Amino acid sequence: MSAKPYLLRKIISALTGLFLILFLIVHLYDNIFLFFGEEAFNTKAKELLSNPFIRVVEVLLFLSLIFHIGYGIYITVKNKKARNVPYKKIDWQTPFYKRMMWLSGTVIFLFLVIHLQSFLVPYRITGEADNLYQLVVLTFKNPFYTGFYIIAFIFLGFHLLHAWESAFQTFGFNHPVFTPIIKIIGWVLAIGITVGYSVVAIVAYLIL
Amino acid sequence: MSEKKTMRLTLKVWRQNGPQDQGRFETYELDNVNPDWSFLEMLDILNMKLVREGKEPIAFESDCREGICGTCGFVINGRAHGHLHKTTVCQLHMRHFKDGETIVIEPFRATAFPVLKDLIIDRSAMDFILKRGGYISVNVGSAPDANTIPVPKHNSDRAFDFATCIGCGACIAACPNASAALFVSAKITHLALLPQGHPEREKRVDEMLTAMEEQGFGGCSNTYACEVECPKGISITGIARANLEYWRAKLKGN
Repeated sequence: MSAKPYLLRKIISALTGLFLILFLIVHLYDNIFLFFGEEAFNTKAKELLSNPFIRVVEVLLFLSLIFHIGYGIYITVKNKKARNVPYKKIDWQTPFYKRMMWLSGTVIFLFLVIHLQSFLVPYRITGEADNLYQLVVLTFKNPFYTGFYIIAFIFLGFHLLHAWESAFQTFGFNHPVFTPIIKIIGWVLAIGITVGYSVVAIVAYLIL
Repeated sequence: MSEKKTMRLTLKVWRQNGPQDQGRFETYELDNVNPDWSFLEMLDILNMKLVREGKEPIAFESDCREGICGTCGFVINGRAHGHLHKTTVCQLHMRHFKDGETIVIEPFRATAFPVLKDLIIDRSAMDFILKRGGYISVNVGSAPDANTIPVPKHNSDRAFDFATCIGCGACIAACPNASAALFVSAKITHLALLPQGHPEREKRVDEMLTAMEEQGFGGCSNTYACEVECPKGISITGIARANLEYWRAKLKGN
């Protein structure tokens, strides 16, 4: 059993998490190109692939994901061990999503596997699909896919709601003036990401 | 004096003969409960009844019974020290419960807090953490003159807010991770805010957080459940402050 202060684990979660949030924002921006038509979207996709900076960041992104997930599991298991006998009756005084990061994390992970399977694998690895626009629109025509997509993003919204605020606390930043602003940004971020991605999915399902 | 309305309660109490025992809930009925009794007085009366019936009384801890020693404490209806804000069990009165109510009583639960008997837990783990860093270096001998070490009023007030921790363990009991972060950070922040705490400033935060880990407490995941249950109202801003102290110590190379 490691006896290093938990903060050393927590900061890895926080730093990789913030990087993943940055990625979510950039990815949402790229998704919006779907509205500009087939050519614009496919050109954007090709452009991203040929950008060497993006390729380097991509490696960083995968490393962040692996560390974020790995430490997430490790922290969850360790924290569960700290209470070997559960309460028979407990009235938690903290919002459910703050206690359920492992659950939202698991749902997001499942989503990620499906997501990479449906887009990254055929477009980037096997090369079955050349027209990414067609692939995306066709995939979202499946109501179950779009449904699960939206559910996953609701979970992600709750994950972010806790994550954003929590990261600053982990860094040691809790300020009478700035912390309430950070909390508001957290809400905007969580709702923005969930609604933003869901809208793109719904538009793809209904209109495109 | 007007006649006070008494209450009838059903109590589901955790009974456990020793650390190795499995433990179970036992249900007791108690009549004529005076609303002005404290929760512990109510248990005293129940225990007298149990003794009269030839049964083993419920083991629980208490000392000052005025909310400042941190000895008492268990979980009442799923809340550490009961549902009343900033209150220890000994200061919780029966008027805050309803007539005919069923009250579930359980010990504080954490791997680091083994149950010794019924509602009594072993909180030595907290002492081990304190030993590792909850001290300062001072000159022995006669007391120094007042004001030899200037302390800004604001800092002494803030330090005092964190020094009010009574070490009852409610924060740990209320934490989904059974983390001692609020308890540990209260001491770190208290001493970091005062010049007297500065000689061991970097060593303290590292040692105490390491000790917390060694004692088997969970890590803080910033759910802030602790702050709600703390009978002294210690703020989670102290956890942020202790985190900052830790990063500061790390950056300084300690």
